[in-house]
Amino acid sequence: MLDAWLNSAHFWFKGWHFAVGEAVCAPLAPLLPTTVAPHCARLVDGFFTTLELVVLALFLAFLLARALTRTLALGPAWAGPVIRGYLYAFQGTPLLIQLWLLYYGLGQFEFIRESSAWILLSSGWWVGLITLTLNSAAYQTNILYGAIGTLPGGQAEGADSLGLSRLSKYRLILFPQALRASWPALANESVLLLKASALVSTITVYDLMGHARTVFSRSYDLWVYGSAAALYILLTALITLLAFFIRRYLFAALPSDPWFSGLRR
Amino acid sequence: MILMDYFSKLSFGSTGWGDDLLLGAAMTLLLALGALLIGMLIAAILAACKIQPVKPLRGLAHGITLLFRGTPEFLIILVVFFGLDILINALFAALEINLVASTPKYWAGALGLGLIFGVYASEVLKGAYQAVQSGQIEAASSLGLNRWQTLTLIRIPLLWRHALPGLMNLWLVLLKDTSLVAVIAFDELLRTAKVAGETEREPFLFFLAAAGLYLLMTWVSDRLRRQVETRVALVGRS
Repeated sequence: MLDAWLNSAHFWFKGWHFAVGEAVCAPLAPLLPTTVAPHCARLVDGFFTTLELVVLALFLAFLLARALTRTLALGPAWAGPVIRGYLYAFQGTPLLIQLWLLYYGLGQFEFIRESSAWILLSSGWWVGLITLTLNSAAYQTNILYGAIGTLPGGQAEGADSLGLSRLSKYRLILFPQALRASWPALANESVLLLKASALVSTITVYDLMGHARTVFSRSYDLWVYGSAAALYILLTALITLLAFFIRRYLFAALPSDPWFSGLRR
Repeated sequence: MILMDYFSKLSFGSTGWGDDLLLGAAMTLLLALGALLIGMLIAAILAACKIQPVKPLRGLAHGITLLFRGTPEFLIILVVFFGLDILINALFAALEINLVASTPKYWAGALGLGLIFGVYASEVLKGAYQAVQSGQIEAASSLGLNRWQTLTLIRIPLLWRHALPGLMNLWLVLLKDTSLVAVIAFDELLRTAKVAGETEREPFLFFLAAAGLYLLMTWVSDRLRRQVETRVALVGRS
């Protein structure tokens, strides 16, 4: 039941890529280098796979990071060292080893292969999503929690003087300001995650890098990597723009943001 | 008993992989140091291009930076590796040397990682160059120092204070990025762990051990960075 659902979800993600790819590539074909043109639809498929993986991972990681930041700020106290250990482990080791540990490493255990989690853990796409999420959540928690520490002390005092509870103080005063202050750093982390996501091609995922590597291994033509690089730069631009518009939409009402006081004039 | 058997695979000597993993860690450090050297050279050149007055050259340096910052590190390393391969063989063919050569993996990896490091470090160096207070430069010229003396005696010693924290941060990133070279089959830590895990059919154990070694290396670097940061801060803000 779960198996079928996951498969259909995966099929939904994959199903429309090539159709879009063929529609986009047909008019472009004469413009592309002759070695790249036949593989254009593959690269477009990879483009969308990477986009989905990164946007999903970023969104899930943000939810996780938000919860972890709150736990770090409000307790319980015993959770602090646990979360710090998690942050340390994921920030101190390369993403590639995290991916390989979860994808190749977990498969050696009999009990994991027989559990229902194996449906997820045997799929490169899902392991990629889980690892990218866990990895980015560690960095995002670090950014968000760090931003809370750098807020002016008057903010917390003001909230206290209004008689706000600890939870209200955090939810209404501290976290929104920390989010605003850390938005540029979060946008930067998003771009870093996008670039790091190319590593999921080593665990059998056909993302943009995966397709580029496969095509290159047959044709040995560097134009393929050049095209993939161009598409990655396009994705970087897309994510930067997305961050820009979210910031504009979310924080436009805050006139103290120097960015927007400049923009409105 | 099973646990003992488990850990004996990490022991030193002919039956365990402990010494191989340590050798892999040493290769990782060596690779990172090589990349650091190449990277600092590239960073100095790029930063110099960014702060000089000729516009096209400045635009080129900024363009290169933009290009590299939007491209995955993994892709850059693969392009450098295969690109060098194609280049070397094309060169041999042009010189009519009948030889099929493969690129030395260490240098391909160090060059790729150095490029990535250099592009980011050039931004740090540029920022540090501009952060040196103008009063210092005015004082230097009032002492009658010429431009070269101002650069080498005043600017560069003062510049390090601003650049070091950023560079140490990039060193941590570089240390983690060395793992990408495992994919082009250079025998550094991650690749050694992969081979050991496949041979012993214990990938989890060996990846975990390798992760521990990476953690140790980043921990030491992080401690070093904090020490440098406090030292730099103690000297005063200028």
